[in-house]
Amino acid sequence: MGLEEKLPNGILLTSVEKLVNWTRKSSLWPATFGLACCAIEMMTTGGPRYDLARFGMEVFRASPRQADLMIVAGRVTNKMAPVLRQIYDQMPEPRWVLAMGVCASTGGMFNNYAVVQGVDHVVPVDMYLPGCPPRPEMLIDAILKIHAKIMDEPLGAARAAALLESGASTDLMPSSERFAKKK
Amino acid sequence: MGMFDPIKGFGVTFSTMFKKVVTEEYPEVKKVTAPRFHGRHQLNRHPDGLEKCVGCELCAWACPADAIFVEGGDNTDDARYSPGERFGADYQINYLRCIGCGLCIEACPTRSLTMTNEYELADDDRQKLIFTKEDLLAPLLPGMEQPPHPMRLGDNEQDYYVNGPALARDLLAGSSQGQSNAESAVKGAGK
Amino acid sequence: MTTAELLADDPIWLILIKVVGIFAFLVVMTLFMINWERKVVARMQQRPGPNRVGPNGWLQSLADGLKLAFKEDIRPVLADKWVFFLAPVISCIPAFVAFSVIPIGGEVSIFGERTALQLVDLPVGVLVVLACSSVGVYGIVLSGWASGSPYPLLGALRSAAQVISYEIAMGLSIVGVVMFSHSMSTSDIVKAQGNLWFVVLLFPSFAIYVISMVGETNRAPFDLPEAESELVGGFHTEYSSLKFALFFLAEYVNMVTVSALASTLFLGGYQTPFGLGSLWSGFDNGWFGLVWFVAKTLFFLFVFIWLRGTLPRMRYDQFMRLGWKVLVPISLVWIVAVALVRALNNSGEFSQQQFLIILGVVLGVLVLLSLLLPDRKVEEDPNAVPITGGGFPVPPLDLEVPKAPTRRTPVVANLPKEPVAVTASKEASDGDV
Repeated sequence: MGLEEKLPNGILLTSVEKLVNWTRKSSLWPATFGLACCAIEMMTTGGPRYDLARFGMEVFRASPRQADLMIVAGRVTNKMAPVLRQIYDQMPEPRWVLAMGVCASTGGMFNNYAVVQGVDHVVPVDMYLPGCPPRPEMLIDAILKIHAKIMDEPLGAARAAALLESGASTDLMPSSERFAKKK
Repeated sequence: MGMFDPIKGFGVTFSTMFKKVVTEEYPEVKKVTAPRFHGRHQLNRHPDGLEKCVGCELCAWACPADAIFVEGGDNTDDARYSPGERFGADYQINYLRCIGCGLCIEACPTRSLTMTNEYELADDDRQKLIFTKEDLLAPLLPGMEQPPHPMRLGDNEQDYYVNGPALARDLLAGSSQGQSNAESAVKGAGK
Repeated sequence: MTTAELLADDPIWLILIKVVGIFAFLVVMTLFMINWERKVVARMQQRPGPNRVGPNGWLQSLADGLKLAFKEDIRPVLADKWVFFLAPVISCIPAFVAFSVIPIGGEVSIFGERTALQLVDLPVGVLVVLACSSVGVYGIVLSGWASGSPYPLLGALRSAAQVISYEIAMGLSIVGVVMFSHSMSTSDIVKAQGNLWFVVLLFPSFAIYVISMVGETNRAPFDLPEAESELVGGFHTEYSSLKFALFFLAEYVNMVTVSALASTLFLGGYQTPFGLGSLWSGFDNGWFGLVWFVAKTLFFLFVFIWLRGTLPRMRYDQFMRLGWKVLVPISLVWIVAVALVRALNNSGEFSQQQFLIILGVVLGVLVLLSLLLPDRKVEEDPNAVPITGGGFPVPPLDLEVPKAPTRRTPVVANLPKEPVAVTASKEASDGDV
C-alpha cells in the first residue's frame, strides 16, 4: 500500500528503513524479460545448480504488476523497445532494472540499426552486468549487488535529500568477498 | 505395467527429496573456474616491471565487438614504459561491449594481453565499466619496478624477447633464495 | 453430550478466543505453507529452496508478505473502483468462514469451561464448507471482470468454470460419507469413524474427493487459469501489493480448509490412528487430537505440493472432460453401489460373513478385469517412414525416383524465326572491358 509514504517524517527511524529495505531485498521478484541467449543463463541460474530460490527469487512473476526486478536478458531490438517501456511502466514502485549481458547494457557486439544500444535509452537501469552471456555466478553477483543497493535506499524524501548531500554510495564489492566466511 | 507409470513419476519426485542437493552455494562457496576461463583481461609485465604491451593495436583490430581502444605512444629514454620503441599509451576495454571471445588474446604478439579468471564485474555505471590501463595492468610482483624506468634486463628489446624465457627461469631460481638475490640475479644476468 | 450441546453454552469470551485462535492458525498455516511448498518443491528438484532469509529460510513468506504491503498499490484506469477493491475481500472471507465448522480437537476444558475444539457445529456443517467455496468463486469472477483487461477476464471465467465443475464431484463424493455417518454435521462424521476410517470403507469417494479438491483450489495440475504463457497471471494479473497478498492468502487458506475437510471426512479428524491408542491413553486426550488433526492436514498439504512438483499442467479441455465425463459418472455409480450394499447389509438376508465373501469376490473380479485389459496398441501406419539404422528415419535403400509423368502435348519454345541483331545494341556486348 506504500505505507511508508503516509508516515510523517518525524517517526522514520533508521530501523524502520532497514526493515522495509530488508523485506524488499529478501523477496525481490523478477519479471520475465528473457529475450535471447542471456535468458538461457537466467534459466540456468534458476535451476538446481545455481539456485536463485535461495534468495527467495524463484518466483518469476509473469505479470509485471507483481514484479520488483526486471532482468532485461538479451538484445532489445527497436521493435521491442516500446514493449519494454510498457512493461516497465506497468511495474509498481519500488522497481529496479538489471541489464543482463552486454547486449542489454550497450548493444554489445551488435552496433547496428536494429538493436537499441543499451536499454538505458529506454528505461533507467540500476545494474549493468557484462558478459556474453554472463555466468550464473555473475548474475547472482549482480543481484547481490542490487541487494546491497536496496539496503542503502532511503525511505522518504527527507532521507533521500540527506543521502544526496552526504554523497555516500553503496560499496559494490565482489560478492564472494562480501559473503566470504570470516576467518 | 502401463497403468502404474504415472505412479512411478510420484516415486521419482519423492525419492529425489532425499538426495543430496547439487547446488553450489555461491557466494559463500566460489568454485574455481576452468584454467582457460574467459574472464577479465590483464596486461602483463616483464620480470622487471616494464609493460609487455607495445601499442601495436592488433587486439583492437581483432575485436569483433569493437570494445578495445588502443593508442600507441613513443618510449623516450627518460620515460620508458616498455622495451622497444612503442608502448600502449592509452588502453581501454569497454566491458559492456566485450563479448569475451578471446580473439584479442590470440592476436597479441607479445603475450601482453591475457585473460584472468575473475568475473565479478557488475557495476551500476556504464562509465565505471570501461577499464583503463591502470585497471587492467597486472599487479607488481616482488622484483618488479613501476615504470617508467630504463631497461633493466638487457640493453635492447632483443634481450627481453629472445632471452626472456631464460631470464624468467633464472629469476624463478633466484627468487627461491630470497628477494634481494633475485634482484641481483636479474641485474647480473643481462650483462 | 453431543458436540452441539457442548458448544451451545459457550460464553462470548470463549467464542472470541476460538475465533482469534482459528484466524491465527490459518494465517500461520498460510505463512508456513508458502515457505514449505517452495522448500519441498525445491528438494524434489534437488535444490535447497529459500535458505537465506531468516534461520534456514523460514522467514521468507513473512518477507514476501511485508514486501507486498510496502509495494505501490495500482488500480488500472479501466478497472471498476469498488469491485476491484472488494473482489479479493470476497475471495478471502469465505475461505476463513469455511474453517469454522471443522472439528479441530475433541472435548477439552478451557479455563474451566467444557467445550469442544470447534467454533460452530451445525447439523449441515459439510454443506457450509461447500457453500463457502461457492461464494469464493464470486471473488474470482469479480476480480477478473473488474480488472478491465482481457487476460484477467479470460482467466477468471476459466477458473470459475473449473471450480464449479469440481464442486459437483466434491459434493457427490461427500454423499457417500454422509450415507455412512447418517449426519451432515462434521463432528458426527468424525465420531462415526471411531471403528474404521472412511478412507478404507469408501476409497473411491476418497480418490474422487482428492482429485476434486485439487481442481477446486486451482492448484497444479489444474492451474491453467494461472498459467503464465497462456494467460499471464489469470485473474490476479492486474493486482499488486496487498490485494494480491489477499488473493494469495485466500488460495492457501482454501487449500488448508479442503485438506482439513479431507482429514475430517475420510481420515478420522482428530482421532488417533487405530493401534496407537493402546500405546498411551494420552493420545485420546482432547488436546492431543489437535496434533493428530494438524498432522493429517499437513499430510494432505504435502500431497498438494507433491502433485505440483510432479505433474505437468493439464489442458483446459482435458480437465473439464475429466471433471464432467469421468469424475461425476464414477461418483454416481459408486453412490448407487454403496446404497445397494448397505441396503443388502441392512436387510439381513445375508450374514456378515457371506456378505464379506461376496464383496471380496466382486472386488477381486473387478481388479482382475482392470489388470487384464490390454494396453492401447499403437496403430501402425502403413505409409509411415521406416525408422532404420541409428534411430533416424532414412529413406529405404531401394528407393526409385519416379519418372516425371509424360506430358500430353509437347511444349515448344516460342522463339522468333530470325535471330535479332544483337551486336548493334549496347547491352549485348559487355563493353570490351
